[in-house]
Amino acid sequence: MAETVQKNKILEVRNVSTSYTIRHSALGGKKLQHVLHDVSFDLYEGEALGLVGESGSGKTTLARAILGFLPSYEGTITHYSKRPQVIFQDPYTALNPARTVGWILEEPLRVYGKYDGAERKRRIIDMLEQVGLSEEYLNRRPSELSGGQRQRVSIAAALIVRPRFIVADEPVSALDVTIQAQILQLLADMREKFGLSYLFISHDLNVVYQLCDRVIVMRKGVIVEEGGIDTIFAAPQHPYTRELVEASDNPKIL
Amino acid sequence: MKKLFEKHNNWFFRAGFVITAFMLLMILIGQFWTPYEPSAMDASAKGLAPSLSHLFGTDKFGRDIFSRVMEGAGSTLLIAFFVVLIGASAGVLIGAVTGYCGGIVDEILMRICDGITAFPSVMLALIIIAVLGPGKWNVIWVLAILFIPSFARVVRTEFSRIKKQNYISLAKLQGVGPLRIIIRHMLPNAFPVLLPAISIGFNNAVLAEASMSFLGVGVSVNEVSLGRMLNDSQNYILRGLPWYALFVGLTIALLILGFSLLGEGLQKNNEG
Ligand SMILES: Nc1ncnc2c1ncn2[C@@H]1O[C@H](COP(=O)(O)OP(=O)(O)O)[C@@H](O)[C@H]1O
Ligand SMILES: [Mg+2]
Repeated sequence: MAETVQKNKILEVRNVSTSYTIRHSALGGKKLQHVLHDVSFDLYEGEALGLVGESGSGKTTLARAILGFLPSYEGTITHYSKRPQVIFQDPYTALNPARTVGWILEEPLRVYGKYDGAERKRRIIDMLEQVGLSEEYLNRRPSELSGGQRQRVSIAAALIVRPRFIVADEPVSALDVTIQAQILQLLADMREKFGLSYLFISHDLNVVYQLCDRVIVMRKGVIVEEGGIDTIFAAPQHPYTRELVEASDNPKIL
Repeated sequence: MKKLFEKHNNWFFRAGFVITAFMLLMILIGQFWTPYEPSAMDASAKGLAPSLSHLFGTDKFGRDIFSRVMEGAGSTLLIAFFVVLIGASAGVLIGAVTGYCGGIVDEILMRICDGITAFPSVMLALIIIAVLGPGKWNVIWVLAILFIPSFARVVRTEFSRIKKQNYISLAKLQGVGPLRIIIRHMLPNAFPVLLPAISIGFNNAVLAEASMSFLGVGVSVNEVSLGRMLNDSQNYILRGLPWYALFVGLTIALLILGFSLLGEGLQKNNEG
């Protein structure tokens, strides 16, 4: 797997820290809750980097910072690719419920503005087929789709602008185990086909194992360990990583 | 339309739809044809009780009440229509901007709305009409302004909820501009709360017009409207013409019953 890792950086995260201000009393008493602390890492072209950590460790906050959704943070985040895209955990809020699949997929192309109607349609149908759906889905609404189908549409919506880098925030956590495997396979296929880089977020090391080359382990907003996926499983250094490895119950290492 | 029925598969909606459709049909017909000329006086037919030739009877000038109700309801509905159109448009605009932007813009606009709401609305209407004088368009503007806050509030709440949804983050990431996000991405998702609000708005506007004209601060004396007729008819109640007030009142009741059932029915599905 190491050969797929190339030298070109696609993302550079340096010393990122952030905190949420929480109002903890009606009288306006405010408290700072530190969520990320001095987070730094690089992500290279073609690489699938896993980000693991238990729920509440700050993974989504980091993803939001990378995607530019966070109003403010310290440190620097540099993208070396255009149009990074995202796949969200909850397929129920990731797709506009008032719109059809066709409209949702066409919107980024309309905004991009380089293709005429016929070309957009051709690209949408092509992309639907790539993610294992078909033209029939064009006029469906998200509410008419299963969780797995919604996630396929989310993937199609992310890929339709031909990004090189995708942040996937727990993209399979809300799905049944069998569907999880299908979606993970799809993500692996798409990575191959389009030469994508992933920042793949999960609380489950097992899921990360199936897709990623390298992992960073985060605990309470701090990166505690970083390394190749096999190394992490074989010889976890930090006690927290060891806990995660044991919790993952991976048959390959037991 | 078919979608609306599938989605709002409850008796409130169906009953409201039937009543409203019937009333609208009668009013629409009244714009082109009435059994008698509404203002034609007939000396030989003064103060008649309801009969087959005069369904609602005649007033003391011999005018056909049914024809007058058809015309008056049309003008009441027209007033309600413009009140809701103006009130809802401005309300949606304010609610969308404040809900989407949040922060200081939100604070300022919503405080203005609070200010409007803080006045007792009938009092405010009375004062403004006292200054401007009665008349159809004065009524429309006064009510429209009074109606803005309720629409603004409903839309704002909905927009600040929708704003936090992932599909809006996604749209921003895809480079969709704020105006397009508000109109194409968020507004369609606010319809489920906007439709009942519009329906209730019609209900309130019909009532408000009727109350104002009844109190003599609505449409001017030579205009017709349900409220105006209610005002007229009160003089006859004890002089042997009770059906005049009865039928006008019934028409108002049916109109608002239709709208409020529709509103109730449209709302039902949002909860369940
Ligand atoms: N919008 C927010 N306001 C305040 N606190 C938040 C907000 N979002 C997340 N948090 C807090 O930040 C911490 C990290 O959350 P998150 O990044 O979602 O973790 P993860 O994705 O790893 O589960 C949690 O303690 C959470 O309660
Ligand atoms: Mg998360």
